[in-house]
Amino acid sequence: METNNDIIVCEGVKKWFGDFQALKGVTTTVKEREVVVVIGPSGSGKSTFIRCINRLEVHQEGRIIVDGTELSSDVRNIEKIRSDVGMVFQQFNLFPHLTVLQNITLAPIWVRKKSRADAEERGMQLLERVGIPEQAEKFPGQLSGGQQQRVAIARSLAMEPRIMLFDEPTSALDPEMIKEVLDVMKELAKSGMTMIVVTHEMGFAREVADRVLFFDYGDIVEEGTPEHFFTNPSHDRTKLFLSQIL
Amino acid sequence: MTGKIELPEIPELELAPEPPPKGAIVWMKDNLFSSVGSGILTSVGLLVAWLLAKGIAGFLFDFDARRWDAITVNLRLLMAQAYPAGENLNIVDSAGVPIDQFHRVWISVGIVIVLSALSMVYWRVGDQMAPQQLTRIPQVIGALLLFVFLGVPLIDYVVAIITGLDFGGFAWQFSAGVHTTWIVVGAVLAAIGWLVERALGDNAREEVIPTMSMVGLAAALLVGSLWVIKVPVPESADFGAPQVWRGLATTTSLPWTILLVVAFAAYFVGRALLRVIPEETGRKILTGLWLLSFPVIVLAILRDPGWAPGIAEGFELSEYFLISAGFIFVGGALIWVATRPDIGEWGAAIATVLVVLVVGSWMTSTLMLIRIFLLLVLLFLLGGKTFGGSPAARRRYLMIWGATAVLVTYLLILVKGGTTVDVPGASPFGGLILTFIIFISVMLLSFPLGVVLALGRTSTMPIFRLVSVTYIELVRAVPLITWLLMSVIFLPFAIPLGTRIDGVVTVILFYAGFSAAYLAENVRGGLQAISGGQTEASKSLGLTTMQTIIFITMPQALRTVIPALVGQAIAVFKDTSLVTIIGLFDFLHISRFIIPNQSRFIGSIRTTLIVAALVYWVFTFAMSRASQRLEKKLGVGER
Repeated sequence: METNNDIIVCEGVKKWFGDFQALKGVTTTVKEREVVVVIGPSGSGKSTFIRCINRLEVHQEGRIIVDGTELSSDVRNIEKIRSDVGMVFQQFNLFPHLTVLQNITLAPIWVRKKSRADAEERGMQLLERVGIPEQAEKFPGQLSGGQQQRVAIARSLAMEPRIMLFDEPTSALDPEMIKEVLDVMKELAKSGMTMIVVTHEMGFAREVADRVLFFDYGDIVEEGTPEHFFTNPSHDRTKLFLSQIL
Repeated sequence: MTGKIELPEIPELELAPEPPPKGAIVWMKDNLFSSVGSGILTSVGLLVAWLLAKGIAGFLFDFDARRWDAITVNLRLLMAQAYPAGENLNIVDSAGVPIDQFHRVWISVGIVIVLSALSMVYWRVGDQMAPQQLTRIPQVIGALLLFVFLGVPLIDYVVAIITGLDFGGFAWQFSAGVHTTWIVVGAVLAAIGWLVERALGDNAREEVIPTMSMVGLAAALLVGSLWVIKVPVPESADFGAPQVWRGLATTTSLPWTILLVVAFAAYFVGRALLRVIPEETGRKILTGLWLLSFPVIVLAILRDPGWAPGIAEGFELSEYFLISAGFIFVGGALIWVATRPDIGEWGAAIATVLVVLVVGSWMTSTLMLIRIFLLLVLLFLLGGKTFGGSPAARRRYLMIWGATAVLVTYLLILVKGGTTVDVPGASPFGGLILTFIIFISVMLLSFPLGVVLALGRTSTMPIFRLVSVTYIELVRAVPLITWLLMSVIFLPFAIPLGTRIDGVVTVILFYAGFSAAYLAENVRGGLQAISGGQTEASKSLGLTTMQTIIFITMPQALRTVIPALVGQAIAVFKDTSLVTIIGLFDFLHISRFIIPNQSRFIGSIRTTLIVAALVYWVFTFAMSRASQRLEKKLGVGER
């Protein structure tokens, strides 16, 4: 089932928190340059799913293969995968004691072993790309939420990842700041980045997604193109969810 | 991408209305007697102030009973105990006359002062202050004098009339002349301050005066006063001899004056250097110099190692050079290999061999130099993955290795090289110098140990965590005095026969171990305050656990616990006075025991203790103020 351009392969991924089963055998594949949007009610396991992909959570059963490497407890595999998979969090998780530019250059310098000058040059390019080069010397606490999230995206991009994971990137933002972050993500999708996005932004899903996964009770209930998904959902739970959210 | 949005014009804002001026009565009602409770608190506060003022002023200004000369005569003793100052010498000039070694103490103080002045420039200490803050100083001093010499007798008088009881209130008072003098001085000071503030009006609140110039002025006034200050001294050694007022010896005032000039010079040299050496580089250099200054002052300047053969048993300078040169090259080659990005399992194999060698060297009678070098190589190998990688990073890492190795060799030679400063008793160090040596060594040693213990306690590795928890709980459960006593009683059994460890070193090691346990708990608090998102973000970027600790969690944890760490530093500083119980002559021991037992100064203990308390207070207060500044500075841009 693994073909050349399948970059993420999940087979029967199961995950428990204590007695609670969060994932009930998720099976799916993501192709290179594909944008997958994951939606679903809270507690449905969608965040747990993408956190398993860069092993912030450890799945107990099933297989996850990222870019040809199977996730296992081998430390070097994990570090390799994590440096190739960027992640953007709901709470931004910028490092508050470092400036914006230091946030971005830290990992390229110490993980990719780039020289400081190279890393800073690349960091400034990325800040230009997300539209806030003038904030480079400020601390995260001095920035608005939207700006912080854009820095977080730039920080992930600085590692030149092959895959980007977004865990509800706009949920902690004030309404007027959501657009600036979504714009950056749209641009990123257009540039051909492989992306998995957990979000409640249906407009974004409709416009950008190649495929939508609907999660409920720890498994994929329905998947398809946005067109199919929003106009003609086949499953009752999907219909219920969409009627509540739209 | 995100289009620029034209901002609409911001409407003009109104200024907040000026609060109406308040009279003194209204102010007192608002602030002192706003309710029954606050009225009671104000009255109780006033009562306490009254009693304190009576007690303290009566004690301090009772010149006939105080022996201030016990302090001024014994300044050297308080500073450095029996440090060779004339009699206990084995250094003689060509004519066989002993050379006074006390200038070494002054050189040490000078180094600290020069580094402080340069640091003030490079860390941009000091801002602008308002003239109002200056005019408040004479007002406060004047008000205090008026309260003590006018207010307190008046309260005594009123209390005596109302209650009919005599609190002995007038017994502490001095002659009417003394009272009048101080009342006039207080009134004049307060009046001058108040008039100047009035004359300046609104200008008084503008921050225009550089704080540093005022600090310089204060230091100059303080040092200048050494030349004019006079101390009551008994005319003869007979008990009850009448007192005469004498100035301080030039052996005190002259060195301080020179140091003042040096401090000013260093400050202005620093200002000039700032144009040549950029701020960031300068700060790094200064941090290094500060770390280096301590061992150099203690070992090279105060201890003055002798290089002559035979001055220390079993010490061969050439042997040390040979061994360390060998280690620098062989170890350097190993480290060069271990920092290769593709080292893989070989790195772990080399490190394992080193672990065996390190453990072996410490369990057998190996030369200390070899033990420490093996340990250093191991530490550098373990850091290889974190700090190595690109050729530039590897070269930099190798250079750091070389510098560290040379430095360690130098310090070990200083320790092993014997000393020409021959002092009777357990240790060449005593007095305030000993207090500071213990304090700084304990902080320097306990800090890394405490951080490691904190990491151990929060670690998921069972053995590491168990060892850390056991250590912390065991050490904290036993009083410091017990550990200090155990250090002298049990340590001789734990070290090879015939070896002798300096009492100061023993105390420092035990005290550092004790302090580390407390420090670990403080740091743990800081670690727990960091959100899990920080570690997750760091890991998602591919940083290793070690890198996450070094760059993300530890800096943030330490920032949040600065107040606790400074509190502990202050406690360590004060508790250095406990070393007196194992026979070390620290500052308090000299104040409490030595000076009051000198035949000239029998009974001077009340004076010496007050001075000792004041000296401790000055240093701890400075520390707490410095930490407040640091907190404010690091708070910028955080959260």
